[in-house]
Amino acid sequence: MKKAIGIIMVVALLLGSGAFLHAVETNPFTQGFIEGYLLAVNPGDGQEQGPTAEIETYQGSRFILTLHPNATYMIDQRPVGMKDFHAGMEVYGVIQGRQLMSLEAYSTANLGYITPGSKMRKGTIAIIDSEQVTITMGDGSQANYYLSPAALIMRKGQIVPASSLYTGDKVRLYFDDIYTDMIGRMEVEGESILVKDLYRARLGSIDRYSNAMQLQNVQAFRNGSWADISPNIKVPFNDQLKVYFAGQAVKPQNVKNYRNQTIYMVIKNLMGKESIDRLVIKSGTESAFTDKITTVNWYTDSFELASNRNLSFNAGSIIIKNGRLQDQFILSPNDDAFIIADNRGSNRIANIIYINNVDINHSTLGQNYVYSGRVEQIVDDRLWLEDMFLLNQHEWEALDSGKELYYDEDTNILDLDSGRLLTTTELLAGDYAVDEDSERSKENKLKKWYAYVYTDGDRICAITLQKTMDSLLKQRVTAGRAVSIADDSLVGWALNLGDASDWSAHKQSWMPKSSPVRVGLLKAMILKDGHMIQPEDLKTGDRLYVVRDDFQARVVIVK
Amino acid sequence: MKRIFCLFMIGLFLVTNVSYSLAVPPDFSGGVNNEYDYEEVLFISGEPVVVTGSGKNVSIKTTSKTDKITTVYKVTLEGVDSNGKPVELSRNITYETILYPHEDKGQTTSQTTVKKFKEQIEVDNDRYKLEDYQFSKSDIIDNRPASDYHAGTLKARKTYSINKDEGTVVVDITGNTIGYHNFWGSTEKQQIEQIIDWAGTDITNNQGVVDISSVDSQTRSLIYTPHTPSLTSFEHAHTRTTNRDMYSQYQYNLPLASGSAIRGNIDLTQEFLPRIERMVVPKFRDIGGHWAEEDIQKLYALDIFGGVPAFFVPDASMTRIDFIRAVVKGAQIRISEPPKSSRTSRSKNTETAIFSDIPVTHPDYSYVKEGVNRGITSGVSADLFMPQSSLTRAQAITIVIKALGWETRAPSPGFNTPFVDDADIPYWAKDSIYVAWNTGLVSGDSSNHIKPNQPISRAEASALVIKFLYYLEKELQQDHFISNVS
Repeated sequence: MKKAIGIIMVVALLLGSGAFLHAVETNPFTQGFIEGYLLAVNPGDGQEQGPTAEIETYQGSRFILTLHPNATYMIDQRPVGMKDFHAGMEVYGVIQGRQLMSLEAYSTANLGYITPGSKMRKGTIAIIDSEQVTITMGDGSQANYYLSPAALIMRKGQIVPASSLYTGDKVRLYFDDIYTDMIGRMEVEGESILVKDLYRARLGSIDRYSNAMQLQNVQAFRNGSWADISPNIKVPFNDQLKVYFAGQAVKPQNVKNYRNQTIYMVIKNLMGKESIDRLVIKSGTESAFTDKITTVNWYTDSFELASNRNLSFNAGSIIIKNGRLQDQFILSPNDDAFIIADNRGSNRIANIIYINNVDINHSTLGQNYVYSGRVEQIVDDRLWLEDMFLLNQHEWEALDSGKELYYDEDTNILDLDSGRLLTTTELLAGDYAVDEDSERSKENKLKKWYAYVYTDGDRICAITLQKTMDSLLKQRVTAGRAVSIADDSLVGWALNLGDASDWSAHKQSWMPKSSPVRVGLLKAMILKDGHMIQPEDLKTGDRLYVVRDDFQARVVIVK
Repeated sequence: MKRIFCLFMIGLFLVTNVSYSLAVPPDFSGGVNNEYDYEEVLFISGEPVVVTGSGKNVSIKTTSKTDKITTVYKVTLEGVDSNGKPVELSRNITYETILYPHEDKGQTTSQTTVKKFKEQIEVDNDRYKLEDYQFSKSDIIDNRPASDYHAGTLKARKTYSINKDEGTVVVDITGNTIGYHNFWGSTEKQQIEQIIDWAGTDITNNQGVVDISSVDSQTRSLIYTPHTPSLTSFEHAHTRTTNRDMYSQYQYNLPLASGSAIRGNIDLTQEFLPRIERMVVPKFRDIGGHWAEEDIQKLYALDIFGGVPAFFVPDASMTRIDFIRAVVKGAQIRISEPPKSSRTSRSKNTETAIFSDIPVTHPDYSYVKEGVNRGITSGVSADLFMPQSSLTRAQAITIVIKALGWETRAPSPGFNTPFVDDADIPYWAKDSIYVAWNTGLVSGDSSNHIKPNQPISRAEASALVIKFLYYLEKELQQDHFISNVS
């Protein structure tokens, strides 16, 4: 009997302790917290007990708990109000003295989710390298981001190819994921980034309330020299204008102290009007050089020209390349530059460094080429060129063999003899790549046609076709800025190139011209952002890379 | 009160007087104006013609009642076409905007319609008369503590008769607007597409397209003004200037009878005369040469620091009360007035303090109350604000981001900020610190620490408030300038 009682007692004790332990686990008042599902929140308006929350624990017990007047409420770790809680939420509450002191719930399904494109970085492109761009942020720090083929690059609301990016471009990068460095979309500042003019003038007065300067004896840099434009003008300035004197920054309120001094200014077009974007005050006597930079010494912030002259540069030096203001790190040996410097004793400080170098591809992102040759064969989606030349480093270079190139429905095809744009079917069906030995060719005196081809890799973006071959030896490459474009009654569409430079094969340099160059567009393939455009689509101010046969342009690329 | 404030703000936002007011381009035709002149470009004759008017020939008036705003554009403009023929426009159009406040959401929607219209354009001997004008525009305004942000969409159709019975010209108009308004800046950008259809007339047999991008922008800025005499009581002061500019760009593609087209751009700009206000002169004796000297002086010029203290103590910790006052006062967040009672003083409502440690009589009580009511700040507990406690960086950033109304732009929870000490960021500050980093308002130190729980010094806090004001003035403006309106 004793044994039986003992067994019963042990069993009872075990069961009892189990029941007790179970009660400890599920009694929220004992454990000081409650976890489970929210069934209801009663704001308790007008009720003595105040607001309450009804919670069903994970074990299934239901409790109605009073909410302390100073209770804190959180959802997904964000402070919220009681009204933000909804029945069905999983909650965790802290209990003190039979009241809920805090109530926390969980709502978000996608942790760390951002609306695609809502992560944004902005800055200026410092380096373009293959599929990577380095951006200089507003605080001067730099960061690398990656460009995928799917990245959308937009300028003025239009999609543009990655190859149209330049160092000096101001950009905003948008990312689709919070942790990614892969750019989803890039918005590039439009024409307001471009340097419209370089001015030299005597500083008159400064109106800091209208952000404008009155300038005297104003000259603009035109075709390699200073040309008078106005004895007196008032020009607005950017309210973030940086002013330098002998390499030292000048505070805005002190600029007026330099009245009657010669100043150099970078002019941009902002909101429909000219505006000063950078300013350097002349601190010595002026010298101007046009030469090739041979070495850059980053330890002494100086460079040497081919003429063995040494010049220093500083944070105030205005450096312009590709029509954009640039960071000083853009300087490199072999740059052909126009330099305006201050002579201070034996020192020369570069105030303005205008780099003339232009190329078809201005970064490693571009794979654009210009070919010329005889059209040997055309099939459905490709053609073969023979007797080919490639425009390499601004000079026509004969290739040993022909090349197979691809075209598609987006390829622009222009028959220069008829002046007609062709469809791919017309290209295929036309007599552009005939078999010259065939009876039909002999009867009709048909010959193979010649072409200028602009490609992206091996894909033809645009092609012009003509019956006869041009003498490529006569052709020259000229870079400049369109100053006027007009449909001339005698020669058809033509433009004047200002601030032009010709490529000299002998000197391997860009040679600035002292007068505008007139160029006819009647037989030209004109390209912008990888597409052929019409002469009337060109705008004054466009920077152009022109392959020309004296007056007549053959290829015009808008940079 | 909030509702009245809301209506007042929207009323102001829609006002376009030919004087200083909030920035909104006039009408929906790409016109620009200043206090005296007005100009726009007409395309109805098939070519662009710039027409201008000034003085009494231009009247843009707005009146607002409780939930309704009425704007009347009355202009007489003249110009010449490419053949030297005179062109004249007379227009008298009344728009009515009805406001629908959503107080619980802190937002307002509005509907704008045309109530009256009369327009006539004479090009040499041809007369184009506006026979019908259908117009519908709706806006959403998000009223945040330091700035309102708005976006709108419009559709309209203008039908003109030519010489009574020689055909019609139909102009189909589609547009979008974006903008913001706060004390330091106000901008509206309109993107409008006009499709002009001359079908059935002998002018052309095709359609023309005109894309108009218009911006009206006003900013207030503080300009450092040296005071040069040696024998005087102060060395420098600040001047607050209000500048306003309008800019429109027309891009047109108009058909010619020959089948080709004329294309081009026309830019119009106008600027208002700046308004000048001289500010009080700071005379702190302990900030000379300090890295934050200029920011501290600006804040003093804005009368953010009361009294005439001789010492600012830039490296001491900023207190919670000083910072909230600086943000509310710096952004000129309107302080709600207590309801006026017409009864005797004995029956006046006695206001109950929000926090037990800041009585209603505290000189900065109204700033704290406004900060709490607008969700910019909260106490350290339900009944304590601890006004003299040091403010941490996390608290300061959170206050600024909430004042801008950007805290909802953070990712869903469960994310890490890019800072090395992300784990130290309090849960309630994580959203704000992420947004502040994403928008460029803050960045880490040289080792990429944000040090969220470190007290912020008075100098650092001053720099943060000045940057906050710069965002209200300039960063919003630049962001809206480059953003696509769609």
